[in-house]
Amino acid sequence: MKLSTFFVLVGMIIISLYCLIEVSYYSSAENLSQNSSNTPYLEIPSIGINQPINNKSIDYGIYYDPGSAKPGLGTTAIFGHRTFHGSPFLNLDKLKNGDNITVEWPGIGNVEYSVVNLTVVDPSYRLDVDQGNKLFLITCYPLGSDAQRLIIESNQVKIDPLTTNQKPNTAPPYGIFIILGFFAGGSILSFLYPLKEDQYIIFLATIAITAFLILAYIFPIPPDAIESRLSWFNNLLGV
Amino acid sequence: MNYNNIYLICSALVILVIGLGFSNFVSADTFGQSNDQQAWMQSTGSTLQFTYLQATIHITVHNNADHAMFFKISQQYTGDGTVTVTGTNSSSIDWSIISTNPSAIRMVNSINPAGDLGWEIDSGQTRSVSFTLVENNPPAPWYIQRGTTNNTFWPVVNDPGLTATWFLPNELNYLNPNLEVVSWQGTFFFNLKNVVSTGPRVEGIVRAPIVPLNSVLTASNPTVDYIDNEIASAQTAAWDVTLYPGQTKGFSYTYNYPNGTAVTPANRQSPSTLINDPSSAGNSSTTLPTQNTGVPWGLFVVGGIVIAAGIIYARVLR
Repeated sequence: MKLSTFFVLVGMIIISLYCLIEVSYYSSAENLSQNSSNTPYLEIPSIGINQPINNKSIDYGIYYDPGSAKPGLGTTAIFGHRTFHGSPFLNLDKLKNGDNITVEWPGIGNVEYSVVNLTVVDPSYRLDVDQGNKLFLITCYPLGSDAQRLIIESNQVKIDPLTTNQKPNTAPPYGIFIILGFFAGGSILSFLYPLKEDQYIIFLATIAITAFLILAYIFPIPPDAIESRLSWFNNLLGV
Repeated sequence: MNYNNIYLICSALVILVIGLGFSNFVSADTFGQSNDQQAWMQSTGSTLQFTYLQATIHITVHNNADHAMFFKISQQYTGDGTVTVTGTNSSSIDWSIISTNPSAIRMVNSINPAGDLGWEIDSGQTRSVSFTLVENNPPAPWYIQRGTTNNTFWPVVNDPGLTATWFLPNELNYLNPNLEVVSWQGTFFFNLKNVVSTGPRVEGIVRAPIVPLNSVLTASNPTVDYIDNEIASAQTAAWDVTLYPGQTKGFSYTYNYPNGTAVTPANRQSPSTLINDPSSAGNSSTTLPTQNTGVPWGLFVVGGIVIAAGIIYARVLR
């Protein structure tokens, strides 16, 4: 095996780790959304968010921190990933003062908030959760980095009776699409690879990694362990 | 070798497997039912069972008496104090001692029909021994909680989602003040299985089934998600687990008495110097740490660059 082939394999493994995070996320999200009758939802029309909230982990999408109060009962803190894990808060920085945010919470109602402030803070910042009836949406900043946090502050406007009945998640199987994409990309790479004698190595690596991703789709891996390693490498490389 | 055939065969296999996965997704979505819904552990009738339990104990004992003493261990420990014979339907786990190092001797005064074992320690001597216990007769069907018996003493096992079983590593000090426990290390291993292969998935917090008091949790595999300090004198190892239908997971953990280097739980953040900083928002009792909500994609870009570099280098080689 030539040195260049080794480089390509290393690059494929790095990219496959990111694919692994997403495949595990989408597979878990599909399972979590099966029972949605008591699931709260976050709805922000201006940036196209209408997703369930979970109280298990930020790794499963939009996460309500139980250390804060429920909507309508005090200060609520909701976290979401900016990148990967479905990127639910990808466009959170596009919110403007006055934009509406609605939290549909079974047992409480439709709690409507209005954005009043956007702030960027250090990761060590601790959010005061004794600020009255407010909602804080928190994600990472800038895009593709975890160096800082973007905090959206909004004030409660009103609470209406729960009217909408969200349906179970019927989003396309993105996890399968990612696996197919990786397989297609790896196959094309192996066919186009200039060293004919090493093409089969790249193709076999594609097969092996694809099989591993399929396994992760069937048996999702907790992504936090992979993430912490990736973050460590990122910090090590200073990228 | 004809690589074209390899390509075709492997491609067909991958597409077949992905197609099967996709068809499962579609059928679950279409019929609105899935065997993979969430369920929670129950104290009785749980679908979760211990299928294996093992404990390896290393202990160093000093004899303060003016004559030789024996450090003894029993083939059985029971919750209600009743000695039972291995293999019978007792009210607690029937431990079996499978190995001793150095080899133990059989005690002359045995309260156990299966025989008690022990080591002789001379006056003033400090001796280290180890022994391994396993549950040799897992009862069916409910291994977690056997019948209605309240098992409260080590090494019986309670429901992992609710509580753990406590014991004192230095109980020897109480039983025989002449024998002083210098150090003690217990490594425990257990398997948990979701015995219902047709679903549902079970999730919950599993606490270590056996927890020594006044000891330090020094290792765990997988890394504990947190340490439960509800019992003030115990660092109860706790994992957040998900077990799919038919799945078995193994857990091991180690406690040291009286001292040791504590393990760091997976969810424990590195200490923040700003927690009590007056300049931070609010006070520490009503504040939340901001969670890590982004996966840096710098390495992703590096991966792409490495691949591109490999291809360019290959072109140069050719």
